[in-house]
Amino acid sequence: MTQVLERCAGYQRLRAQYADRLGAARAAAAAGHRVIGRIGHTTPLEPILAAGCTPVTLAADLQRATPRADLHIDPELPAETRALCEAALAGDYECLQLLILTRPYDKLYYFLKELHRIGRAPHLPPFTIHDLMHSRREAVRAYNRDRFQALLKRLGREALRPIDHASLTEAIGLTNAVRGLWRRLDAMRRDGRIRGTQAMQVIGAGLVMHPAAYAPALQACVDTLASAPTAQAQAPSAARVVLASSEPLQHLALHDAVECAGGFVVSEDDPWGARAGGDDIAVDADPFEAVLDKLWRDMPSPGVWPPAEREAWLRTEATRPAVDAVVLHVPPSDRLLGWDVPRLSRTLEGAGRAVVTVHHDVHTAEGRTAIVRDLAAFFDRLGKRGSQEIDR
Amino acid sequence: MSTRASGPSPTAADDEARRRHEALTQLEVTRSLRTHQREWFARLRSEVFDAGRPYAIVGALVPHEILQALDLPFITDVWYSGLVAARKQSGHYSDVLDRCGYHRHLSRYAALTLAVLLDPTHPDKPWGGLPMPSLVCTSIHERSAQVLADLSGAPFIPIEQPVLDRPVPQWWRQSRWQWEDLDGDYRIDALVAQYGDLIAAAERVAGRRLDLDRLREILDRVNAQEECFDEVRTLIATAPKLPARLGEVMGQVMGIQWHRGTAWALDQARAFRDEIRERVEQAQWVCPNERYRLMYVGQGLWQNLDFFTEFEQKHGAVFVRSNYLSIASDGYIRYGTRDPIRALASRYVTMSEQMHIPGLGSEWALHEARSHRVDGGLSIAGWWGIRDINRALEEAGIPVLDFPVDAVDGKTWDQQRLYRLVSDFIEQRVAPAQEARRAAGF
Repeated sequence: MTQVLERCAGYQRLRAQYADRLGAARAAAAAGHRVIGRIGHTTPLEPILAAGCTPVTLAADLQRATPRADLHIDPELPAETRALCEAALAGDYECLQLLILTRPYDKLYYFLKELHRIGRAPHLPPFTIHDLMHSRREAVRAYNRDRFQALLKRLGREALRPIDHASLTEAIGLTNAVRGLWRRLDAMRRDGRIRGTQAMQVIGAGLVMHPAAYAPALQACVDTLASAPTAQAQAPSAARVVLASSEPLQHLALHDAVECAGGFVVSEDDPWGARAGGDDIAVDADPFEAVLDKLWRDMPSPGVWPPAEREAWLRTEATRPAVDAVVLHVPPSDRLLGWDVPRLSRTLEGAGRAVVTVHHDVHTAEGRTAIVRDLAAFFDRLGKRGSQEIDR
Repeated sequence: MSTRASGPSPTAADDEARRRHEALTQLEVTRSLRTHQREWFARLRSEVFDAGRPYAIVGALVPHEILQALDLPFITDVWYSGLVAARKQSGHYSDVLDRCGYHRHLSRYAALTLAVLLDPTHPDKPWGGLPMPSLVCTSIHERSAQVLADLSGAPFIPIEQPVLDRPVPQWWRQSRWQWEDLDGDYRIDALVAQYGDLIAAAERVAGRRLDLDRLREILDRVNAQEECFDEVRTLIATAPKLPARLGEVMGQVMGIQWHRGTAWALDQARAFRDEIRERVEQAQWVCPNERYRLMYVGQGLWQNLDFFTEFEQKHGAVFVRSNYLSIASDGYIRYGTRDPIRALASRYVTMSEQMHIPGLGSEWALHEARSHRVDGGLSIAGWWGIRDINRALEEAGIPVLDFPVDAVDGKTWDQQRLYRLVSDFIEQRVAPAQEARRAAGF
């Protein structure tokens, strides 16, 4: 199956964009477009597109040294915070017209505000924060609406055209088209037509490219995969797993480790993967209301409350017939998912799914080795050994 | 039910530490605080533990004033966790969490309360253990509280603090009267809406309606109490020398804050202020040979508050400032309580964060260092934002020692090594920095 995809020009383009995540943004800025960067997924793309700007989702390079950020940011804070701060201080985001951070990155926002105040971040673009509360209850509805309005106002200052019903409806059409293709890709993943590491690159490229440029390449990938053989034909004994990690899966390290151990990742509970799209934004409603509703009701986040809603997607995916097991990645940096693991494991096992929790840091050589070892043993116990059969 | 049903008998070292602590106690209010804590607990035990009256477990940043106005007993999770740690049982209860599948890297700060409930058969627990609560309310980030609520079958009310999108570095200059501008009306609105959920749930448990007039009285009493703390801070900052050991001051502040809003707390705060004032008037100094004034940056060294008295004699070094007293006056006071829920929301909307957030924490620490005539700081790791505060102090010529111990975990303590570390810091960094400042006319 991989050879078929490797020959697809669309896939090659998406892979290149995934590898150089700021490449499309830099090229767009160099061509005179206004590029709006977002850190986190709870800033909607549609108002940015409606404003005539190009959105790009920023990812942390966790392998990069962070000497500038280390001077200010405490070691207790996530490596991702330091890596993003380092990139901002190094001038990586200078090409942006505006940088929008989101609630999970509030501490990064505070550090950037202070570094800017004391004059130590001369390369920072203008930046702001979109604070959408993730709990799904009436008590926060008014605040979220107010903050969404503030975001629209701020974007309006950068806009090349008005953010109105017409432009927003047009933008929703663009992103819904991508969502439709992503859902087809999801189904193909469950059929075993594309490996997790490949799918992550195909999906992730869509978060760093303009959807108008991304959709044709994605369409080409989906069309190519339609003729690819399924996993059942190729590797009938591979363990088909759903993945959930307490760290953003903005890299391929964990998928690669799972595949090395003999697993086949059919989906992951992460906005850099299978949860990038979700349901379509309603087109038969006020577009502003529809975007806000989508943002609040269908956004994967560890901050979603109550827990039943936070875990609904994972429970549904895990109990699909195409899934054998759930892998929970809870590395030492975890501060949240670990509190859910015992209950989540009981629930999933009660539904007939095998569950394994791996605790090592996948970004170190020792951690990766340990994860591969633990998962290989788990897949053995399941009677699944497919790594040798899948063409890697 | 016994407060300490059984358990290891005190060791000779424990006895010695207790004797030493008692000998170092200088304030009469320290003794009256202990007496009140005992009486308060006896009442809690009889009403809640024995008679089965409903109670709530809440986080430290939850508006306790609302529960007080409803006469709903409550226990703060981190304070109870602190009792577990003070009894040197954090290791055992951390293992309990491990065995239940909650990995070691998850914060145990508040979760030791959960651990006690997860281990019902253990014979030795603070206060003999806790009954299951009828309500749980904490920050939404305190995920262990959801586990606790699920375990007890109690409703869980999460509180989400809005992000501080427009930080004001010198926030304490606006916080008393101008809080609507400082905190942002939309942020205050966000908490007011969530407090509606808390009030509704607490009213159901308490079986009565919230009386806003009573709540306003409680808020006004808290303001009056914090004003006493403010006076204490000014006395300490401006007196020629330190009138009371910081360990005692911190214990007094936290003990009173635990009961803030009650008549007892206000009376105790007044007595505390009066005793400090008297000591200043009578020139009763902790260290007559005082030469160097130090401050805690971030959290206090709760596991060994008496440690620094050792440097009084040899170096003339005293600790004059901690966050605990200063945040009581700068963080809590909210004047203009016509709408008490709104004033309460402002009090908590950035509570604690203003000590961490870069810019806010550093400006405040600098201001405090200068007003207290501080010569050096001691910084205990494990507190986000501390690196930026340390940087700001160092750049202002105030040396800071990174003290490599956990604030509560006694396993990280090495007396000889730490004594040498502090001695070297005073001799090699604090003394020259003080000299340089004096030479420059500061």
